[in-house]
Amino acid sequence: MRLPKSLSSRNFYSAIPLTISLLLLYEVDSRSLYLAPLLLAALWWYFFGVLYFVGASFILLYHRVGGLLGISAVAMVFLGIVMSRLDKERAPPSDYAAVTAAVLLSIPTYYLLLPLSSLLSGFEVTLLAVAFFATLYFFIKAVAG
Amino acid sequence: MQPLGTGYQPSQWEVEEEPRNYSLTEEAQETLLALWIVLLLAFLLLRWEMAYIALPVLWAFFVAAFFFKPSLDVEIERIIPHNRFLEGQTVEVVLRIRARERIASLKVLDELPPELELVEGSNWRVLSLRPGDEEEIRYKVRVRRGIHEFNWVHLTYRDPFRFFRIERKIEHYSEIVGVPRIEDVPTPYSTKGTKVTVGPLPSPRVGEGVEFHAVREYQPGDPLKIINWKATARTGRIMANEYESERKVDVIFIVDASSKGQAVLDYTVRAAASLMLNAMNDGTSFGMVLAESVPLWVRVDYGKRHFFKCIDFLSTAKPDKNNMISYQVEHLIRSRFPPRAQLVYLSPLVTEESREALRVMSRYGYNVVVISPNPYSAVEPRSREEELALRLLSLQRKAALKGMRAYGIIIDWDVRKPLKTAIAEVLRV
Repeated sequence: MRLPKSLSSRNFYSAIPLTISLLLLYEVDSRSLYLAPLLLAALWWYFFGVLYFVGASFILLYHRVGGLLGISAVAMVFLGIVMSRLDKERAPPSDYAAVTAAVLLSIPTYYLLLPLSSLLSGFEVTLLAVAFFATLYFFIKAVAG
Repeated sequence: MQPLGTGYQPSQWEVEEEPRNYSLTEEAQETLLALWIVLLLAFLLLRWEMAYIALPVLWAFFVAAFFFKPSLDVEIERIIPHNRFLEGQTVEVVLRIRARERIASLKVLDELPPELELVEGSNWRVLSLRPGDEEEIRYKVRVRRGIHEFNWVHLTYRDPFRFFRIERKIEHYSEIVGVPRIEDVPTPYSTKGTKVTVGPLPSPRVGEGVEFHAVREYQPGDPLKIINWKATARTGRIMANEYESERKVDVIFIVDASSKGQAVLDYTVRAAASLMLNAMNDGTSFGMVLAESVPLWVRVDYGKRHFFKCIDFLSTAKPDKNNMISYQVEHLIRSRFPPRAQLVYLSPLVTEESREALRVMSRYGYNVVVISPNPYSAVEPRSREEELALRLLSLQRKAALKGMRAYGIIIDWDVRKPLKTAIAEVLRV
């Protein structure tokens, strides 16, 4: 049987991290399954992937689930939605490798930041985060401009 | 950035020096918006310490911006086997890309001329290149009649995350000429002529020449060299050989490119090209008028080079809205047409202007053969009403053509049949 062109002309590697992310979120809250339609839509449209990312983050924040599980779940969601773009363009394997490596770097980074945050008070951590995001914002503005 | 060379087809090369356009993609903007929403949620839910869940996104932006910023230093070459193809023919185009630097993800799009139909492969590809890598994009297009110009190659670099985009447009010129299809046709016009030149088209007029025609009785004034001594001995009277004159005609092809006959313009052009080939093979000299808004006049000449020149002009024929063929023909008759030339008028005769042109040709005493592709035969009716309408229009056309027969030989061509059949039906050749 011949597949429709929209299915045969692309890859589906993004389904792997997206499925893992849904399983991880299910561990946190069984109502995460309501996000499954967004997950399916994310395979085709980036915008729905972004909605799925926001939804997944909300569930983690609401249940105060961080740590390895939280960061892994977010990493898988984000990896899935970025990979869905690569799937659509049948991108070369090196692109997948770069994306996977960069996103998974967040896990060791988290473990590097963990002892640092325990040394600082809550307000200082907030200041650090604000400084971090401000730097990122100005950096992106400079690069894009 | 430099082009490699011209491939098999000579083409112009020019690289547009354009500053790199480095911008955020829609995906990046959506992701940044989602990032702010997540941080806002963390603030609203009093989970500010969990801001670290944004780390995967931050890492992605960091890596995308710092590790993937190429200058798009590539060499590009487009290879097309020739530059002239018969209409309907399939041509393979190869775009060769050689990288001089590492480019993780480069989308290369070869901009197609709008009239070319992509039949196999794709004119774009996403490539991952290392320095010295050479990749090819192969695709096949079906050529239509006309001149088709390839002008641009678009390079779009996106980092592997699709967050930043660099676009570049390279001017890279190649052209394909789709020449009309040619078929074998009989000569549809009279060969009677007055031009004294050497050529294989015989005139029935008896005169000097090399081709033996008949034996007749010697007439006072005939040169002695034509006396046939054997026949003289046999008959007892002085007999002389008669030779065919080698006089031949000039033929002018007049092509009506009126937009109202657009449905059969390709057939008109094919017929003109076929008849020109027939004329060339017969050694006849011919000229051409392509009646567009600015009429194109190719003066009478012989030979292959002249034939190909006419074919090139025919390839460019486009439907013309401001058709003034009658005025143009009258002007050319007065200023350019050789006297007593044979005119071959290729027109669907759907406009009053085109019918008036035929009257003008006849009024000036020219012999005219009209090849008239029937525009209604090119339409396939989709309903009973359309079928009836086509029948009525065909009857109207028949009546109009009947009225035009006084001005020339009219070959009403049903384009579903070969042209030679249409000619044979009328001329019994």
